[in-house]
Amino acid sequence: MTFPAYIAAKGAQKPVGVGLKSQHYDDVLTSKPALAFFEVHAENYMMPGGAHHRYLEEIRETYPLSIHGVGMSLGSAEGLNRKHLQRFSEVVNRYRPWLVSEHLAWSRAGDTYLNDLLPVPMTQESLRVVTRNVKAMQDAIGRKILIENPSSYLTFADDEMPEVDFLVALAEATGCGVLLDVNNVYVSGKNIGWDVRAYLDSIPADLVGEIHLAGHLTRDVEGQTLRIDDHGSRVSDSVWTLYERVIARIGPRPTLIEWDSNIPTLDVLVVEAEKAQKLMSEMVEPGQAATRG
Amino acid sequence: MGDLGDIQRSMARTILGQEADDSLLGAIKDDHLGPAARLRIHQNNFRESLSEALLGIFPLCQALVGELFLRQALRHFVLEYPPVDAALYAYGRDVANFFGIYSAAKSVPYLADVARLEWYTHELANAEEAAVYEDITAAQAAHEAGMGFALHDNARVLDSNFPIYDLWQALSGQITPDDLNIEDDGQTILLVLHGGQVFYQLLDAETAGTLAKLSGDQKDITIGSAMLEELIDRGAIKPK
Repeated sequence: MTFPAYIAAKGAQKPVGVGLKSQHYDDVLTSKPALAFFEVHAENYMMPGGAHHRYLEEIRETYPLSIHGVGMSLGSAEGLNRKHLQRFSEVVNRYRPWLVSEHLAWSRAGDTYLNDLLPVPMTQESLRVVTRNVKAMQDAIGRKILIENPSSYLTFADDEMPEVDFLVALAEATGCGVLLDVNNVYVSGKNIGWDVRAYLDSIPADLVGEIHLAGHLTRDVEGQTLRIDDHGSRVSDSVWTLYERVIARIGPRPTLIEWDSNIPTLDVLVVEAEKAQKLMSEMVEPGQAATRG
Repeated sequence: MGDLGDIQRSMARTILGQEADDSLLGAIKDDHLGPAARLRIHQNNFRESLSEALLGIFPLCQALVGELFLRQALRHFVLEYPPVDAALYAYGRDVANFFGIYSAAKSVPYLADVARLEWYTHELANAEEAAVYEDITAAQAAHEAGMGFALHDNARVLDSNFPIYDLWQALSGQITPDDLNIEDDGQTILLVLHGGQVFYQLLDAETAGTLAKLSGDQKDITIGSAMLEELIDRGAIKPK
């Protein structure tokens, strides 16, 4: 997988962006915040016309875009929906994004779209299905994609491999990269009982093409504490600590602040982005310690 | 449990409100929190995310019946009419019809038409704006030659048994609730997308009737040139 050259270059920029929300369109255009890129959900730009397109056309004149899909259902045993694939391709062709990503999840069964990122069993059968679907998607849009690790609330009794192994095998089979959502690793780790640090330490650095950061909420369910990935608050301190750990190991990566519910003013997202930028700037990049020593 | 397809079909049924079957519960790891409780998180995600998305399309309905009632109604709606597509801008067309038969909304019979008005607004706001048709001379010639007319792609017509235009004005704060008499005669609204904005026009009975005839399949309609000009001028029609 080839990532934009400046990400790999030593001492390069620290590319941090935020998820673009319609509530912030005007503010983005007037205040032009110092952000490296905006990420949008592909499904929010599949309508034929309207204000969303008008704003995004204008915003992309100033900022690179990342197109992030939430409805491709790459984990569906029944394969991809051709109509959705076509529309996704149209969005990619129209906006020529810098990055394209989707999820390790499924969301479609027959004629029903379930509007959730549902868990895929970590089995060889699932790996074959997701591999086939990722290849189909990459062929359709004519480029490699990044696959985001899910936030999990359940796992399957017949799981055959850890999630990291699944993602690595998927990348080997399809050439895709990984969109490492650090908040999702944290949420899943707490909900399922994984070793979060071991997960993050074992993901191959060269696979990670983007990092997501978001807030989550804590909820009591039948006496058990669950983390819900609601993207409705600031990034938690625990997730910031994990983010530092990740970038210290793998180096700078495009990093996105997501905020999809209880949406605050744009400046709150920009402050979160600045924090990520600062952490990337302060870190010692791989290889630098030795030369300084 | 069988293969991946079996698991996914079974999970889908559960998310849509059925009891989880034993084989699905057996397929999910049972640790400190049971499979049924874990599945409920996804059931909840489905209901809440979709009802939240729909809430954004129907602000006037919310002003009419309150957020609590509308949320509850939409939760029922999403279970009965789940989306067929991930492009959710097209999801919600059936809300108006659902409100028409939703027993809890029986005391608010005009809710369905308010929802219809908001759906038309949403539909037009997300449509690709077609070229305006404004060639009156050509329209007259087409009419005289017996060519039919159709509703313009940028237009929608809502013919209601209720004073829907007054309702729209009251719910959007343009008139006070005291200025609205829900017992008044029904009204017809023409919605037109122009320059990226949706405009609302109240039609009188004659104009509404002519528009209904013109946009329907009825042939041999006699129409005065003034009316034809008015409908073209309003952006309502174009030659078939």
